[in-house]
Amino acid sequence: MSKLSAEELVRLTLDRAYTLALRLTGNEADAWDLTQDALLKAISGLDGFRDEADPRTWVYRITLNAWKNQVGSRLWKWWRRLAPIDPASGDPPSREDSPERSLDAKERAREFEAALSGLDPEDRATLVLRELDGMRYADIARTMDVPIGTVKSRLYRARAALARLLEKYDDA
Amino acid sequence: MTHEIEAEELSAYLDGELTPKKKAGVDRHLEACAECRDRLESLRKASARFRAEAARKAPESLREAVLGGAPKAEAAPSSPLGFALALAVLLLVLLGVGKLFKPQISQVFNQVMAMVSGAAQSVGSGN
Repeated sequence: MSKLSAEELVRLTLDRAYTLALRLTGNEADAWDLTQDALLKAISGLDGFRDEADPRTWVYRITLNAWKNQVGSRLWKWWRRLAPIDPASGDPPSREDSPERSLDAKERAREFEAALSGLDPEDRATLVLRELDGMRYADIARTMDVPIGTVKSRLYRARAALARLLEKYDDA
Repeated sequence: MTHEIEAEELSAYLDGELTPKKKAGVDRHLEACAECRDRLESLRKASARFRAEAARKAPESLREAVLGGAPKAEAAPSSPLGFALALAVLLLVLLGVGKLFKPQISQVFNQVMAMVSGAAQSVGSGN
């Protein structure tokens, strides 16, 4: 039985689950819904959660499964294209929103979001697990339910594409 | 020059996910290949940029909705009574429109049914 409370689970996982959802869905409204669905499922299943497991990995798996169920919907795919991420609407947690934030930084963020939108959702999600959580390939493979070779290919493809797209913006 | 390593290995090299033997092979190749050193640097920059900029803090409204088990505030009607009223008005409008245009609606319905039936017949006869 788990001793983890709902509040503790949310404190430990919400921001990162939201980031994963945002990178999967590509827009804030769907990320909001997806994260809420995933966290509510996780909270309702807390009794079955084993304390020795990593709650973040567990919530990631629930988020990924919920997203896979959503992408079956054609209407959802169509909507996703209409509402891209607004780079000015959110900051990385390490930054404070301030009037001093320079135009350059905003432009940089816009370029970054535009470059990310050119990547496959699964590739972006794999980057989240590797770059933001520092997960090993074997753990990413278990979380995403794919072979390790797929993790390796996705990471290479994502980084190479991101590098290419960012260079394109830098040259423009 | 020929590249003795696969492109994906450069990315795995960056993550420290290669076996010691493969890592030694990549090290050797990198010493001799400026092109692969540039590619590695470019992958490293993309990784660093993602680490620096990809994370987002969840909106406070989401935290409250999850902990309260409440539906999304922006999408929810302002109150159950407001929602019931809006639904009642919509039903009345639909009934009114239906009554007003009853002959036209049934005419359009008959035409659509005739078209569907004709299409089904032509499919059935192989035309």
